[in-house]
Formats: sequence, C-alpha cells, structure tokens
Amino acid sequence: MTRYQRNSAVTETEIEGETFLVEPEGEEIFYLDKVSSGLWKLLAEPRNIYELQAVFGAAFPDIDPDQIAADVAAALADLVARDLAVIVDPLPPE
Amino acid sequence: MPPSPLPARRANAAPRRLFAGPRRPIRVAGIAWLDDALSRYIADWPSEAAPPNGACDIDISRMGGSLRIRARTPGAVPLDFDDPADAANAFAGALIGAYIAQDPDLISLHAGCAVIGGRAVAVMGPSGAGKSSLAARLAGAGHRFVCDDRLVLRVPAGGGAPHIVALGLAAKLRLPLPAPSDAGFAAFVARHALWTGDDLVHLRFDPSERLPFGGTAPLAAVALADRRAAGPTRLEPAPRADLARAVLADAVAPHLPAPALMALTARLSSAVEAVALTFADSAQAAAVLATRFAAPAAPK
Repeated sequence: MTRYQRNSAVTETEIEGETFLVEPEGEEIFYLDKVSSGLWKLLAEPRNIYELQAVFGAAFPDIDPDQIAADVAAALADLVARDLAVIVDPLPPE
Repeated sequence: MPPSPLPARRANAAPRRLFAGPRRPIRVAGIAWLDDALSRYIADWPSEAAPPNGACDIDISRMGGSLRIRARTPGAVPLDFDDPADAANAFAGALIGAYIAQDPDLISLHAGCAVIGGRAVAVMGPSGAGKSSLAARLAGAGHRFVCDDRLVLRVPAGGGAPHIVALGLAAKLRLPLPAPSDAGFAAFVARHALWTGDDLVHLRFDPSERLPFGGTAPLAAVALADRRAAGPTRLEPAPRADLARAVLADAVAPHLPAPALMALTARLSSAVEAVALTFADSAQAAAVLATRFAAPAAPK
C-alpha cells in the first residue's frame, strides 16, 4: 500500500493557526486550506490514503463519505504534485 | 486621452543621474526621455548628475516610436511605452524596485499610507479599493502623506519594529472625485493639483503635508480595504493570516527568495495590527482610521 509523508525539505510557517509552506526547489509559497492543512498535519507520519480518509470521515460524520474520499484524494494529489508531500516506500511484509 | 508625443531630445545628450538608494546610489541613464512627466510620480526623490561611465541600474531609451524602460533588478523585463507619462509611472516602479533590491529587509506593497499620531497606517487593496482617496483624505485632515500606491516597508530580520520608508512619491486621484465629495476636499485637491487630465489628477502636497524622502515611521496597522457601492463604514480586527495572505499575494520583492519573503511576512504579520476596513464613503473611512489610530489603543 502506497504511503505518503510530508516532504521533509518543505519549510512550514504557522500564522494564527493557518499554514504556509515553502517548497524547497521552487519560488512559490503555498497557503493551505482546511482540508490540505489537516492532511499536512496527518502526514507528519507516513500514512496511506485509506487512513487519511478514515480520519477525515470520523471528523466530519455528517458529510457524505464518498465526498470526503474524493476531497482527500484530490488534496493529497495536489500536495504530491507540488512536491509538498512525497511517496514513501511501502511497509515491508510482516 | 491620446498619448502625449514623445520628446524629441536625444537621450545620449542627457547626463546620467544618481538617485538616492538605501545603501548606494541608483544609476539611471536616459532620464531626459521622461521629460516633465516624472514630476507627476516623484515629488522629491533626491538625485544628482552622474559621470557618463559605468553600468546603470535602469536604462531609459527610445526604441522606434516607444520609450523602453530596462531595469537590472532580478526578474525585471524591458517594458515599452508610447506615452511618456506611462513610461514615467513605470520608471517610478523600477526605481522603487532598484531601491528595495539593495536591502533584504525591504519590500514594496501596493498600499496607500499616511502617518497618524506618529505611526504609519497602510491601506491595502486592489485597484479601485480607495487607497489613493483615503491617503489624500488623510493628508487633507492633517495626517502626513506617505504614498497612495507603492509603499516601501522595512521589516528588520535582526529585530526591531517594522516601519515605512517614505520615498517622496507624488499622489493621484481618479476624476471625477467620488461622491459624496465635500467642497472642502475638492478645494484641497484643486489647491494641490500638479497636473490634471480627463480622468486623473496628480497632486503634490506641501512639505509639511507629506513625509519627506527617507522619512520613516513605525507601522501601526495595515487596513485591508473592501470598498462597497453603499453602506456604513466598519473597521474590525482581521486575522493576521489574512494580512499574511494579502502581503504574499501582493508583495513586490523579486530580490527575495521565497523562504526569505515568507520569513519577512511572518515577522510583519506578528508585529503589526491587521484590520478590515469596509466602506463606501472615503471621507467617513478616513475619519474612522484617524480616530482609531490617533492614539494607541487602550490596553484591555
């Protein structure tokens, strides 16, 4: 199972609870919306997409699970596309 | 309004000039091409004649039927203009860019600014948000004018409060003046009009009404302006993250790598009060700003 984690080279700045990221190679500064900010916090440790979707599903029980799954997948893909998050090797079989 | 004809004089007949910079002079070639239009944008930026050798920070040249502004600052591209006034406006921007490029503690924002009670109050917002109107209204009420569009801030990395740096910039207002405009303000504008076009008036305030070139004041607050067609004036605390987002979206700082700009923005956002200003009447909004910042807020 593919797991994701923060790109450790990204610099994080928090201003009144809101998160700004500077990607190491580029010249861009990113502001994270609520979904992306939550993902960023969770990605302090390697996690697969189902774990991430489960956390968001538990946090927002009134929202359609399919909608949550789609939003988390899109936000995760965005973080990876911008090199803010990276794919880590899958766990070795036990 | 049709563009003004290009001046006929030859740039290479004009001496180079050195404009004052924070650490060293800014060398400019071809300033004579801008003719008298420059005074509409720069009121009192000191300059002196320069020897005719050495590379320039900004070159102004005639390219066919256009004036070309070429700055040597990071990220700058040559810009061509048919109208000397447009070229002068672009040159003022290039000069500010060359000024801030000399010091990593400096950035430029699109903001109007006046000094109220010894502290600077800046107003940020998109074109048409009322930056010029508010700055002029505040000047008319006795609060020293700093700028109405391009504000330079020093945000020291080594500690110390952020402060504005006045660059002797001129003021402008769109015409007709927004309604309601009282006769007193119209008379103030008329008294300071330097150049009047169909839809714009350039103003030059008296030395006692503006902060001189190089003058500084601690930055007390940044107002994020939201101008409406109608409705009351409201001035409310704004999240510091809103200020940070506004600064990052607007900052002119090509001399700073992204991590340095982020660090500067964080320092600025933590040290300066952010307020949201919603208004329709610029006179009323200026009065609210003046009242709020004329004296430090009482401790809670």
